[in-house]
Amino acid sequence: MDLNLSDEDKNFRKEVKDFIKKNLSSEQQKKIKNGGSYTKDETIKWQRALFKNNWFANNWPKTYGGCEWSPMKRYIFDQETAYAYTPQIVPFGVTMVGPVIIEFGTELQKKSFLPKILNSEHWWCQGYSEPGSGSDLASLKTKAISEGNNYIINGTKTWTTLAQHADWMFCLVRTDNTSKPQEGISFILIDMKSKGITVDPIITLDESHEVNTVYLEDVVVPKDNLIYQENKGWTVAKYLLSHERTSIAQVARSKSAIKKLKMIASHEVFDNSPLIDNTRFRDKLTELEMDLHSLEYTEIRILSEEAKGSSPGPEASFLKIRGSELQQKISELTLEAVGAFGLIKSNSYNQDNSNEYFPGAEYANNVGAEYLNLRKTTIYGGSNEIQKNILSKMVLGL
Amino acid sequence: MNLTFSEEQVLIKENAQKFLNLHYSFEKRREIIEESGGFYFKHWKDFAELGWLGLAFPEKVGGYGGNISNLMILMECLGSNLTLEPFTFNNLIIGKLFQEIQSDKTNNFLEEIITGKKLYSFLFSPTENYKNNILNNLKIVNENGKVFLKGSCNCVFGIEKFDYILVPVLSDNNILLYLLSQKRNGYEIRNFETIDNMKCSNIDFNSLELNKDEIIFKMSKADFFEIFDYIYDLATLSTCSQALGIIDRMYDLTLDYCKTRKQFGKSIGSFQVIQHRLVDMHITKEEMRSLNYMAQVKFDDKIEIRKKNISLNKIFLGSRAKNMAQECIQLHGGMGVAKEMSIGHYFSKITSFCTLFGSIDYHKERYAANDFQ
Ligand SMILES: Cc1cc2nc3c(=O)[nH]c(=O)nc-3n(C[C@H](O)[C@H](O)[C@H](O)COP(=O)(O)OP(=O)(O)OC[C@H]3O[C@@H](n4cnc5c(N)ncnc54)[C@H](O)[C@@H]3O)c2cc1C
Repeated sequence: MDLNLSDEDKNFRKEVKDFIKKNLSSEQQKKIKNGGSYTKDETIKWQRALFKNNWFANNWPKTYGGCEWSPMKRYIFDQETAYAYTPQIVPFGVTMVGPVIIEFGTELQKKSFLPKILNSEHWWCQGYSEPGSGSDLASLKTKAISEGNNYIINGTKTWTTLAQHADWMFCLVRTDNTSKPQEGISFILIDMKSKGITVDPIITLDESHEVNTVYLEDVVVPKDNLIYQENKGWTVAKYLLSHERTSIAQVARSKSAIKKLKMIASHEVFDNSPLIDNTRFRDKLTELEMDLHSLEYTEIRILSEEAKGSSPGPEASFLKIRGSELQQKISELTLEAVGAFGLIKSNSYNQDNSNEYFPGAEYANNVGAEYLNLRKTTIYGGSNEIQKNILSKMVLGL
Repeated sequence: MNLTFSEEQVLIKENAQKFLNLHYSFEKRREIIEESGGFYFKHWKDFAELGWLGLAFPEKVGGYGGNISNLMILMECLGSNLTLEPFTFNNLIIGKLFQEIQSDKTNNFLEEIITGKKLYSFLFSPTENYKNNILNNLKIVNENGKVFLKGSCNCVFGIEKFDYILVPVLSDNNILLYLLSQKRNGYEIRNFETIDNMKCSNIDFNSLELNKDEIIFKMSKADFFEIFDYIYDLATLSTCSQALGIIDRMYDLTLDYCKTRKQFGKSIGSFQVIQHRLVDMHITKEEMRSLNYMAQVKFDDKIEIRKKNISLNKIFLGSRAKNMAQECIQLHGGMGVAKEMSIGHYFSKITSFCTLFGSIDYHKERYAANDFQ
């Protein structure tokens, strides 16, 4: 057991810092720190810079263009990028469907999709959920009917994150109605430019456009785009979900958020002294930091087990549970810290629905909207209730 | 002790619900937001005709009673339907101030408030720092024999539009209350939208020359805050009453959703973990109501008792009720975060109410400072 940084790790930290300095302007970082968000182009530019440095696919084997970082390197990278408010890598391609194609894809599929994930030519989205099938994913109804070399697909996908930007969607469809629900599902890749696809925005509480409804009407998809075997999509989906759950804990981002919260609390005033000196407030802050430490150390432990070869199992679920709760709690206390300014809609740089400028301290910009936005964390990626169901069954044996 | 409604109160509630369900359904409210360009006084005149603008005030000043419970019943209804008019600011706070200071002019002002003829506002920011802000933000400056108002005030509600604004300024150890017409020069207001469709404003005074006859009242700092603390507490309670209406509505919506939303071939309300949480919500909303009623009954008791009860309500809102609102979103799944659903609008409003009129830490201090009697 060793949690100390080796010289190599220390060097790596410096490399990451230098890389950030070179590839991200301080205006961009400031914009994000103060509640803005990156555009599609900025995100792609960042991803391409990472790719050029061979740092993009850190969870892929080297043979496919990945960099096979040790858990420690991943941890350092996540931490430094979070502190620096860099764009976040869009997970749907490189983190989710990439490993799936590597594990289950044909040579042809690997050849045609992996390079374009690596160079960010393709923006991916995840078409799992449907209006009637959220937690109970296996009940999904989007139908794929076999017709020669194609499937004809009809149905509705919803909550599809960033589908408005997507070139491709990995999608769960029903290919067999007669067997048990899980056994009639297939995992298929759909070109978003196909005829018959409509993407409608869903506006969320914070008035942002992150999610969409995707309507599929007689969409023709070549059978070559089927991953693994027909009716074996559930196996693929389960493999992918475990990858989604580890990355969803967001420990590094939460650390960065706590850092910002401390900065805010030392500027805000309560009863004529800095808010951070108020015992009631400090207690709450301390509790969050404790929670964060507990989560962080647990994540490191799981990552190092993973490094020894075990794939992320159901344990990944508890990272998701605690990580998502923590993200929400930090945003809640941050809102408390900035007071009434937190209620004012942000000037969030690239949203339409915002005030011309923000009247309060820069750090308070978007704090209220962030609190509203983060309600999603305990719902998406499999709600926390569902994670607990999984844990109680798979780990506790109940 | 009687904590049940009188016949009169049942009537107030029924009439309010009837009007609001007709004119303030979720769809109608959405139309108001889209059409009004952010100026939410569409039904102000109706409120006047229904007698609501006079409900807070006693008959001797032209109101319809001034009974606290009657008022809080209305506030709860206004909360339930997420009304957009800044009632607490443009009616309750300013009207109560006029009622309490009682000068020869104030009855005219009150009449205009109650009939909805004119819009009045009071300049202050509804946060725990309200006292300091009132004392420090604005100054009277003498220049070449003229008197100017200087300074600025942030996060003020209910001043997006007004005919007259009442401005408190510290001078020696007295508070002077100036009533300024909207038509005056020398000030600038900037309005900002809030997450719950309110307008929060900043006001700057740079070269507003004050006239002596604009002073409608002068009193010692201590006298002023005795009055204003009372009004501030009343406004806090009115906020908690609106929140009670919201929490009740969120509970109904969530219970209903859990009964109708099906996953795994059953209603999600059939899962025990959800049932337990709904039961907790039920307990929370009932406790919240008990605290609210008790604060009404104790409102005109000794100051410490009033303060303790008001703070208790605000703490409950900022902790248990806030958690419950979060649970309501959670149990709606993705639908909980979709703006098209009403549940999220209730959530934004609760978020705003948790913040206004003092943080939870402030109220915990106040609550802990006194024993229960
Ligand atoms: C911002 C956001 C982004 C998303 N992005 C994507 C995306 O890119 N792609 C995609 O496919 N999906 C996406 N989702 C969808 C997400 O995966 C679903 O919202 C989630 O699975 C929950 O499903 P649901 O919304 O239908 O809620 P429901 O399944 O209807 O659940 C409602 C409530 O009931 C609870 N519940 C349900 N079943 C049980 C049970 N058996 N026991 C106890 N409690 C239960 C749930 O936990 C929840 O609290 C996104 C969602 C959000 C909010």
